[in-house]
Amino acid sequence: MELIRFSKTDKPVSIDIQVEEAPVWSYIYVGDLTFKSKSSAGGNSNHILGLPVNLDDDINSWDIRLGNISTSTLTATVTITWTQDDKVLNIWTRQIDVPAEAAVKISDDALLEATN
Amino acid sequence: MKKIILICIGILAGASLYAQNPDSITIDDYYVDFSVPDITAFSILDINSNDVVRPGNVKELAVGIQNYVDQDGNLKPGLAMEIAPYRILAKALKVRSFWEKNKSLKNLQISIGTAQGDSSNLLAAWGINWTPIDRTDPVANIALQNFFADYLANKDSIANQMSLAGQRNKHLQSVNQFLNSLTPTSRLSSQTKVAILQYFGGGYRSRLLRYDSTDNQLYALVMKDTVLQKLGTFNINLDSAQSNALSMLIVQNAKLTFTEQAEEEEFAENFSEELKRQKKIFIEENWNRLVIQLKAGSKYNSAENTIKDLSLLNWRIFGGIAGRIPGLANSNSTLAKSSQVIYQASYINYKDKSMPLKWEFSTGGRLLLGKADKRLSAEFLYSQATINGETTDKSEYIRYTIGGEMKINEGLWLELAVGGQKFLQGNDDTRVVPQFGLKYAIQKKSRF
Repeated sequence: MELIRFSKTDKPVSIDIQVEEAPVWSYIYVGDLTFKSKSSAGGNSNHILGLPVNLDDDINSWDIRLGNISTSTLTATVTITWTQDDKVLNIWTRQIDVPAEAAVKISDDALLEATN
Repeated sequence: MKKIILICIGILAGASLYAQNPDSITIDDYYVDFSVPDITAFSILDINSNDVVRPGNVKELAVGIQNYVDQDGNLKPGLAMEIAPYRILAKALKVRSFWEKNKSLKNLQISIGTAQGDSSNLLAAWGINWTPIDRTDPVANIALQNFFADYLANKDSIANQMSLAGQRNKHLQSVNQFLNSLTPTSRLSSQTKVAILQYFGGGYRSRLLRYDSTDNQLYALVMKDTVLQKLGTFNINLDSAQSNALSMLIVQNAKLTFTEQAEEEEFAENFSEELKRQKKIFIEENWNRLVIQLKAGSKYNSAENTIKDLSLLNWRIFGGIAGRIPGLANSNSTLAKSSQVIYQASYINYKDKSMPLKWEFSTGGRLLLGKADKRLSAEFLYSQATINGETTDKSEYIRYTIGGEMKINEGLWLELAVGGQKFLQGNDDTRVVPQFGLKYAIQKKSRF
């Protein structure tokens, strides 16, 4: 579980989700708003979560699915970066092995907190 | 297709009654070997490919080489390394865009090796293997990748059904509200809440491992003990109403976890089955699409086991192109879907004077009719070589074969063929001798 702290300003909090070394993927990120993307859609990975006043004490949850259509295991890296006003608030990164001709899912959550 | 192959064999069997001197000449002499040659440092040096090191980054590459090549240029036998530049360099941000623009370089492979020679000498070799275009490879097919990206995404976008991430998020919000209710006058610190919330969230597998993966009730019991213990470390004690509320949340969590487990296991199984099915369809429909392969390699000898002392023994290049009959690339006709033409050329130059040949050039083509895993073939090969020594003699011949092949499993083929050979120059008898030696072989072959 991540703790994402941000300032009580009028600058929104954003996320950027990157998937490396896995050509087949999709994700869903759930908070006040729900964001979805997939590798077949050009992979738009940057999303605005909202303003600090609306995000304080929120829970965000995400599931990232990775598919491997080759006949050997691949190792993918998934990274979520939270930013506010170009300042990096938190980075969540995981490396995961995807077996041959299989799909895996990686999940986690975060508590968001606005600070002075 | 099997019937056609058997009929052809029967006809050719009849022709064998008229063959000349069948015992002295076998079909192996005439069968055109159109497999893609294995030009790697390991095949050149006859090194066991199971011992090959494949570095994943620059550091591993440097460490691997320095064990066999020291800073003075001294060489040791035993180096067997296969380098995929993409794998090593792709993570470097500066070069990532280069690989994205030049995706055909992704499968470039470079092999290097050293081995002990016959006496105190050392042998070294390198090989390059590059397939710039391979439209028969399902893994590289963008449409197939997109199909399965959509397949993954659809799992989280089922109409009138909240996604699993959404269900977990809603549950965690309830847990968060419960935690906020424990201290109505002031909010629990965020670190305390994260410490408790983590027991309810994250991946379902980690929760199953932590509590119990076999029974809903046991799961709930273990989870409640764990959470109460954690609350105790923060001096948070629950009254009976709060304890009941916590129990309800834990029961919800157990139900969510086991439901997710069942759904995800079924999804994973369906994904794998669908993938195998789609790949099979892709290969059946695209077995004869465009492939271009280029290979090169050379072998060296070093009497003093140093880089400076390396002398070239031979070098070789190979190029091959396979695809549909020209003009039928976009056709949906039966002929277009069930035929393939292959052209390949190979050149070997021998610097080693002890070898019988100076150089050898061969080129030829195949016409295949059939399917991805079984087909008839007609093949033609032209070869020319010059002989070593104080002679200007050349060996020049053509070979032709008609046969069939059937794939048994990945890389393993059953081959049946009959063919002939005609020497255009050389000291062998000029003849056309169709022989039915019924060459059959089950062998591992790399083919277009």
